[in-house]
Amino acid sequence: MLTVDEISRGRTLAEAEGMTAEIGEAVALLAGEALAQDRLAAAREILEGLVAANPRDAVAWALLSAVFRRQGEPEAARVCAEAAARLAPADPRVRLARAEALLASGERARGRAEVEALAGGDGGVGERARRLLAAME
Amino acid sequence: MSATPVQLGAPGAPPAGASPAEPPEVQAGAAARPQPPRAARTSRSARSGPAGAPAAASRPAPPRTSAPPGGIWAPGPAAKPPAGYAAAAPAGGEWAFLDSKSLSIEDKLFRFMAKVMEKIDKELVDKMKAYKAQFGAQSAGGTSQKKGSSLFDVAKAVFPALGLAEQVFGREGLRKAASSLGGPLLAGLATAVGLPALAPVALRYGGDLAELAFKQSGSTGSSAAGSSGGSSAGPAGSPDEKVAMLELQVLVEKQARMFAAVSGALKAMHDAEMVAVHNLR
Repeated sequence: MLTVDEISRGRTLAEAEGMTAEIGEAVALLAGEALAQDRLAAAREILEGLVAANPRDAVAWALLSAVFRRQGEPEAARVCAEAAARLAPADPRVRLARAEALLASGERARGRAEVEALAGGDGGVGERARRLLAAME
Repeated sequence: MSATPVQLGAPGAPPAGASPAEPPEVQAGAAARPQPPRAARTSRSARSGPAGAPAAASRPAPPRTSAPPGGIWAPGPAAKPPAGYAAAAPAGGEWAFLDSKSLSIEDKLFRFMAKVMEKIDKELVDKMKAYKAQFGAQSAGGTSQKKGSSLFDVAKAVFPALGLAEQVFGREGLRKAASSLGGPLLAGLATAVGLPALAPVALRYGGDLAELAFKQSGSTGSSAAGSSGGSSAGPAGSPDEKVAMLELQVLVEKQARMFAAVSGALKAMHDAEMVAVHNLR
């Protein structure tokens, strides 16, 4: 049971309910899968639940940002991306989500600079950043 | 939700199996040192010896043994009560006068009436304060102004913490973001940016109210504030307010009934006594 006092002291529902990081990751994976299959409503529902349960999960905020962006809500996407970036500023997935939110919300210069910075990296994030850069050329 | 400690037994009532509480008159002199009930004191003096024997007070006290009564389970002289129990009711309680042997029934009735009136008065004041807290601000500045302002305050505090001041994507953008995100996500955002104290406020109000908050804050001082104010939370005289007024009315009626009942009883008793007096004449 989570009380209002506990919420205002920063305790999360996940902590109160004994939800572990592994469960959080599994839920985020599920949402990522829904997002990849373009089931945006389902992904949004899952992710809203996840960030409500643990607002300190940066990846959940980043994924939610992607959902909002693809649903045509760039402002909400930007807010979620900034929340993710504040929680995990060095995480490349979060940085990419923020860059995409910046581009979608019209801040092309800042978004492009961030994508360029990520394009040098390897893995899925670097690959996606390079493809984004190529598309912007 | 904050947990309220559970009190076992009604406050003021003696615990089951306990002897009836002493009236306040008796306790007044015995506050510092606990005394056994009057009956026990009388029986002890009666047991002091055969008739005409010297009083027990003059007899030397028996030497104290080292083992305290209760053995190892007895609490020490300075032991604190264990945590987790409800606070004990004060000795005697506020209704102790009902058991007093020195008070007449009229006195008891009068004190009873005074005590009940005191309780009803307190209840009435509490209800009025609750009414003021809930509806007082509305009549001063429009019904939903307070609620809307609260959520706007959340958004105003949370968004700049994310580097998203109004200048970033304009007031309209902020409004859209707030209304898309809704209450739970705004609450999450408040926690994420290190302002968890704002989370409960955001949780209470949804995205629709966020939109309203932005509308209202944009039209402060204009006539639009008044017109939008009535749309969601209801004007003065809303069902909630009517219920609150009804509760106040019920309390006042209860008070009036109490007066009528007790004064009727007192009058009947007085009349009965007067009949006896007249008969004696």
